[in-house]
Amino acid sequence: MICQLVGVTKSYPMGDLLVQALRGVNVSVGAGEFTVFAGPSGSGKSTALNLLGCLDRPTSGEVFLDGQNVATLSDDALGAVRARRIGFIFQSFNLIPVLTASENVDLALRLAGVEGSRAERVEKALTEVGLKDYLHRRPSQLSGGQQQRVAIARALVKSPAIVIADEPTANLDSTNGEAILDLMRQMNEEKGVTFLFSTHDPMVMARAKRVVRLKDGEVVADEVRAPS
Amino acid sequence: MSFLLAIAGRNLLRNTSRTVITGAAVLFGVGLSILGWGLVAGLDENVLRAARTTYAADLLLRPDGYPTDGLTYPLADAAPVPAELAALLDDLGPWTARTAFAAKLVNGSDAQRITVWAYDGERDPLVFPRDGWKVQGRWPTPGANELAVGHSLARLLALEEGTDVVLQTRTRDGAINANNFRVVGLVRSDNAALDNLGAWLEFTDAVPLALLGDARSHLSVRLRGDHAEAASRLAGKGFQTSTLEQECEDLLALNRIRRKSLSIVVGMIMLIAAVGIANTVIMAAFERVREVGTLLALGMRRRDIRVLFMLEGGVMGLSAGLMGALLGGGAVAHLQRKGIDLSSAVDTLGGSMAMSTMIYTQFSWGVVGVALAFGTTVSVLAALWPATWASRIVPADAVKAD
Repeated sequence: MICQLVGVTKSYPMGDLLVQALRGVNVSVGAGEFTVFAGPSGSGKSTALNLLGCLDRPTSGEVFLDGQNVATLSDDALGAVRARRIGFIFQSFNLIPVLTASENVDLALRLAGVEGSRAERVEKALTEVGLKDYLHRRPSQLSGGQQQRVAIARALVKSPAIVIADEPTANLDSTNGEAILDLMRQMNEEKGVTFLFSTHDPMVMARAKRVVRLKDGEVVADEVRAPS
Repeated sequence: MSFLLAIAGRNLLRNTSRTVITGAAVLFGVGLSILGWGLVAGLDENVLRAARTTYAADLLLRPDGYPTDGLTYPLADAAPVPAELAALLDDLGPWTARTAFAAKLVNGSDAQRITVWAYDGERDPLVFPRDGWKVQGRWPTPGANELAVGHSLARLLALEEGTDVVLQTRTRDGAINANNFRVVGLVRSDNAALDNLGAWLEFTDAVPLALLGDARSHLSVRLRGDHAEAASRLAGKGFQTSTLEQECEDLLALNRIRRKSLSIVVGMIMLIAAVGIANTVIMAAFERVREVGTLLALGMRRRDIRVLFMLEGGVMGLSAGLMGALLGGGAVAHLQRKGIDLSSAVDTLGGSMAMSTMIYTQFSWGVVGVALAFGTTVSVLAALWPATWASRIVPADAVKAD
């Protein structure tokens, strides 16, 4: 078991109301999974991924990462966990615009506290996503698909326990979206990287090994797919 | 830290026009403060130089009871120099005696009340070398009833070299006396007040005019040693002593007020700069919410986010401050060598301050350092609040911000 939500609730104040985003969710994710959290808007899938990605804390319940309960960690401790153990791929790529592709990838290693041989690791990571010739380009000089590849390299370069991908294909055309998904699936199969997606893109769900469906903050289905 | 510094530097170049406009306020504040303080320091030196080179030297002695305000020169209060005092002065350094008195200078139908400085043509240049003075013509020849006048006075009474004038005064015992003199020199000294209403006359020619006898009103000493020791040795000799700084106290006090006023102006400019920097950093923080969220998601510590934004303020302040220091310091250093010639302005306005019409600024690395440190500190502090705001962003929300 690499990460786990145990009896997790999450509520947000919205004006005078208290919105219940998650209502007692229990989910366990094993190493090497390629799992999609699916559901309509407001179902709680992004909230669940935020908790698994240590971007947020639950209102109640426990969040385990490699056996450690991270629900009660301080901001800095959560940051350290994210830096070393978790990779992120965002819908809008979220590259730092003033840094080149290699610097964006290197940033993840710096923040993870990696000291030596960073340049080799950065180049290798970018080569693996097919961007060997784009090391010194800034995000504005790259296409959307290329930017998302840089984001994948940034997420994977530090060999994280899990990679959280929130709607990773939403801002890509279908060709690029498919290529990106194939790339992630390839990383999953060849390197055993654990991917957790939040999406309602059928193309993503079609490639998932497991689909956890949420509705109104509760898990309503948990389907394990046969390898495709 | 060097990585954060590199990011901060690049971030500042993202919106160069905003950075330049904000930096300009810091540049202006730092540059103006260096130039202003250099100018006021130069004014201090100017005031001291004017007194040192035209009437006070290092130490000025007046007879006991003689007025020290520099506004009246009563001949009745002038006094002979005792032999014991003269010997003591010889021991202290080169010295000269002068007698100042009020007179009316008449050129045809024009007349003007002036101050005449009767001097010893042999001793006077030893104390007042007149290096920076400009004389059109020459200094008077003893016994030839010749006169040198300040150039502003000459302009007022339309005097030229060779103009014959009448000098009318009250003698030491109160009678009215007058004599004919020929103007042989138009003097531009280091002291606009003397140039405006002053004339110079050899004792040989002043004594019969004002019946001075051996009465002297001013003894000016170029000291070889310490002021305090000299003053103590001269105490009780019938003449009151006054140091150069004491002579210039009024004008130096005026400069202190100028310095405070300048500090207030600079402070206001820096306040405007601080608001500009705070605004720039706030705008940067608002525009980069998603970016900050991403940095937090990648594991950057909140305090590093705060440092990043403060570095942006600091780099902007330091860069603009350095340029301001370069421009302000360069201008001060240049004007320290070349000076600012205010003679035409003084001629037009009729300046009567005891100052040279050439003002030399004073360069000081200390002033440059303080102004630069002040500008940079203000910039960093201005960035503190927006930097703190940015560091408190919630990453889960921020990574999806537009």
